[in-house]
Amino acid sequence: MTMIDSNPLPPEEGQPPRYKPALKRRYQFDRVYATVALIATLLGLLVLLLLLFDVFRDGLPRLALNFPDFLTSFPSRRPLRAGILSPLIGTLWVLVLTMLISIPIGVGAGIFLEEFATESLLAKIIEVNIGNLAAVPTIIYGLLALQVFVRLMEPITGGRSILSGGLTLALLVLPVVIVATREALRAVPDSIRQAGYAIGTTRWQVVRDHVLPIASPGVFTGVILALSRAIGQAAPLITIGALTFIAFLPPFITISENGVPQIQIIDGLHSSFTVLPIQVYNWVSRPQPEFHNAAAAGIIVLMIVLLLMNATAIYLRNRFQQTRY
Amino acid sequence: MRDSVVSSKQVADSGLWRPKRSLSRWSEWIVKIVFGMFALISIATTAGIIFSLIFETIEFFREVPMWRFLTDTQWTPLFTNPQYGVIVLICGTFLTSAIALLVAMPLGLMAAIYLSEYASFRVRRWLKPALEILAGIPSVVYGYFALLFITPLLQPLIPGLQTFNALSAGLILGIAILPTIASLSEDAIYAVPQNLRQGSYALGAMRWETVQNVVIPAALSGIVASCVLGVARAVGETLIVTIAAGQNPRLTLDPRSSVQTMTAFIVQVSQGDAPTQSLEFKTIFAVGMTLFGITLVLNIFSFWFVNRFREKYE
Amino acid sequence: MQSELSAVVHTDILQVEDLSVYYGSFLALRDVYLSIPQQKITAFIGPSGCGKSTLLRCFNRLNDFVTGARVEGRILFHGMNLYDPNVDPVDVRRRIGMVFQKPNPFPKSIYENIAYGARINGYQGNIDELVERSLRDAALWDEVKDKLKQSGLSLSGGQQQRLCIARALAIEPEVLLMDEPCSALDPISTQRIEELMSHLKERYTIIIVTHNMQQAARTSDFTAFFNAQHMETGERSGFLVEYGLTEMIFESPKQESTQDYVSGRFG
Repeated sequence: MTMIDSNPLPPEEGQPPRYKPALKRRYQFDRVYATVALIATLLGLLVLLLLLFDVFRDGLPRLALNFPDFLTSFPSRRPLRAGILSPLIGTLWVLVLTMLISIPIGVGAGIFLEEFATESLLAKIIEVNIGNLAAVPTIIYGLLALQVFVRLMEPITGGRSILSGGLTLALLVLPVVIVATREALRAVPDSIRQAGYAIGTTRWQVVRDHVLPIASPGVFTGVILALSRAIGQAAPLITIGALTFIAFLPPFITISENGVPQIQIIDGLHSSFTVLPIQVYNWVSRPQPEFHNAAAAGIIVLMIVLLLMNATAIYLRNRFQQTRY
Repeated sequence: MRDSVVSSKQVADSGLWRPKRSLSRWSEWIVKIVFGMFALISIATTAGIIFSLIFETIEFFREVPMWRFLTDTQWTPLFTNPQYGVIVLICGTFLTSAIALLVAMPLGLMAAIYLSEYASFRVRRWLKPALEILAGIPSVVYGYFALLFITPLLQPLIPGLQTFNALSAGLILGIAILPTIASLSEDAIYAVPQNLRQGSYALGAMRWETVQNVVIPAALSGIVASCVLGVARAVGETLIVTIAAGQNPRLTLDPRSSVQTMTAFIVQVSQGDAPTQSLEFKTIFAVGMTLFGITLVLNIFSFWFVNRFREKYE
Repeated sequence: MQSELSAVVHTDILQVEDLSVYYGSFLALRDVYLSIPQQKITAFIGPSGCGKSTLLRCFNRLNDFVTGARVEGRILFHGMNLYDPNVDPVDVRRRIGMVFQKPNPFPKSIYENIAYGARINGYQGNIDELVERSLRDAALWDEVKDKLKQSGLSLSGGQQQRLCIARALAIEPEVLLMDEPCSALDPISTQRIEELMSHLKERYTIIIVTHNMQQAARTSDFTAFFNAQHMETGERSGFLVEYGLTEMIFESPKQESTQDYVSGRFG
C-alpha cells in the first residue's frame, strides 16, 4: 500500500463533510489518557517499593546487630539492647486466641446463614449489618471491647489481658470470616447437597460430611487473610490497654522449682501483654533515632509474620484449587 | 423432619433399618440454635457498639453541656481549665482525610480504569494483587514511613513544615485507602455490561471517550460507594495520623502544621491510663460517639446514593 | 453465486473476499465470498455458531476488541479494504453503524444518547436538529419529544431499541448493521422495527442477522445462509452455504441443507 492519506476510505457524498472526526487529536488524547492511568497505577506501587526500601535500610542493620539478640531480648530503655521477644510472643498468642474464637463462631454463623437460613429476613438483616460493620473504625471496636471485655467481663477475662485482646480482634475479624465462609459454601455445587439428601441424611449431616470438607480451603484462605489484617492492628488493642513495656512472657507454661513444666491456662490468658504493632508504635514515638531503627527492625519481623500467613493462604488455595468441583 | 414421614411400616424389611432419627433430629436442632446464636453475635456487635458508646457519652454530657462540646473552639480536656470544642478534633480529622481523598480518589479511579479498560489480561493479573498488598500493610508501618521518610523528604521543599504535620499523614493515609477505592471502583467498572462499551465503540468512540461518557456514568454508584468507604476508612484510621500528624489539637486548615484527629485523641487518653470514672475517660467515648456518628452518616449516604443512582441493567 | 446476483441491477457497497476469522487458533468462519448490494436489506441466517454475527462484526471491525481475534481476506467498502493497515477502525465505525441484540442505551438522557456519537465525531451541523431528525427517522420522536431530558433507561424495551437505532442513525452511516435487533422484544415492538427497516432502506444499506426465518423472509431482499461444520480438530467452524435473492433462498434453494433449515428441519 502506498497510501499516505490517513483516511483512505472513499469520501462521502455531500460537500463539505458534515463530520470532522479529528482522529489524530483523539488518538493522541487516548494515548495520554492511558499513560496517565498507568502512571496512577504504578504510583501506588512505587510508594510500596519506597516504603519497603526505607524500612529495610533502617531496620536490617539493627536486626543483624548481634543476631538473633533482637528476637530473644525483652524491650529495654537502652535502644541498642531493646529486643522484641515479648511483643512477638504476644502477637502469636493473640493470633492463636483470635483464631480459636473467631473460626468456630464465624464458620458456624456462616453455615447458619448459608445452609439453614438462606433467604430469610435474619440473613438479610445480618448481611446489611455486616456491610455496616465494615465501615466502623477499628478504634470503635476498641472502645466496645474496653467496656465489654475489660470492664463488664473482668472476672472472666482478667481485664486488660491477652484474652481480652484475642476477643477484641476476634470481634473485628468475625464479619470477614462470616462472609468468607458464606462465599466458600456458596461455591459448593448444589448437586453435592442433593446427593446427600437423596440417601436420607439430614441437612446438618450433609453440611458436616460433604459440604464443609469441600468448602474448607476457601474458608481457611479467607480466615487467614482476615487474620493477617487483624494482626497488624494496634489501635483497638491500645484502647483496651495493652501495655508497651513488658519484660515477661505470658505464663502459659512455667517451670516450677523442681524443674517440672506446668501449664497454667488461666494465668496465661489473664496475663498482660503487648503485640508487635504496639511495640513498633512505641518505638516510633520516641525521639532517639536508635529507637526508630529498632522500630524498623520490628516492622521487618511483623512483615515476615504477615508474609508467612499470606503465603499459607496462597498455598492452601493453590493446593486445593485442582480438586474444585 | 421430612425423614419421619416415611413410616417404618412401608419399608419391606423394617428391622434392618434403624436410623437414629430422633438423635439426628436433636443434633440438627442444637446445631441450628447454636449457629443461629453465633450469627446473632454480629448484630450484637452493632448493638454493643452503640450501647457502650452511648452510656458514657450521656455521662459526659451531664458534666459538659452539649452546646459547649459543639461550639467551643478549643480542645484542652487535659488542662486545669478544660475546654471541649470537638470541632477542633473534627477539623484535624477533616484535614487529614481531605488530603487523603485528594490523593486516593484520582489515583484509585485512574488505576481502576487502567486495570479494567486498558491493561491486558496478563498485566492485570500481576498489577491487581500487587496493588492489594498496599491494603495489607499495617497502619503503624505507614505511620513510620510518613513520619520518618515523607516528612524529611518534604521539609526542604515546603518551608514551615513541622515535624508532625497533617500533610505527610494525609498523603500516606491516601496511599493506605488507595486499594479500597481502586479495588471497589474496579469491581464497579468491570461490572458494566460489555454491550454498553460495544455500543459506544460502534459509534466510532475511542477508549477514553467510552470510559468518560459511558463506563464511568454507568458505574457511578459503585464508584461513589467506594470513595465513601475510603473516606470512612480515612476518618477512622488511627495510627498513621497519631504518629505522623501528632497530638496537637489546633483549629487550623494549614496542612503544614501539626493537628490532632479524633482517633489520635482516643489513643492519647488510652495510653495515659485514665481512671474509669474520670471525665477524661468519658471524653474518649463522647469523641468515639462523634466518630461513629460521622461514619454512620457516610454509610447511610452511600446506601442512599447507591439505591438512588444505580443503573439497572439486566 | 456472483453470476446470479448480477442479473439484478444494483451496486455493491461491501464485498467480502475470501474472508476467514480466527479466535486464537479456533477458526470461527472460513472462506466467505459475499457482496452486499447498496440500499437493500440483506439477511444473515443460520444455526448458532455458524459465524453470522462474527461476520457482521467484521464489517465495523468490532472484532478488533476481542483478544486473539484475527481476520484473513478482504472486505471492500466502496472498493477499499476495511482491513488495510491505513484504514482507521474508528473511521469505519463512523461510516458503518450498528444496532445490538439487546437494547443498550447509555446511562444518559435520551437527548444525550443521540448527541453523543455526533459530538465525538465532530458533527458540524446543529445538534438539536440532528437529534430530532434521528428520532423521527427511528419513529420515536412523537413518543419522547416531551421527555428528552429523561434517562434513556426509563423507556420500554422496544423504545430503547428504537433509541439505539436513532443513535446509530445520528452519525449518518451508510450501512446499518443489525445483530438480531428484535430477539429481546415483544411481537408488537418487533413489527414496528421491521416497518422502520423498510423505510430506512431507501437511504441506508441494512444487514440484519436473525434467528427468525419469518423475519428474514418478510424484511430482506437478499439472504445468506450460513452453517457450521465439524472440522478435523473437533471444533465447529462456520461457512457460507448459499446466498441469493430472499425468494430464491426460501422457495428454491440450491443446497439441501438450506432447504432443511428454512423449512425448519434443523437449527
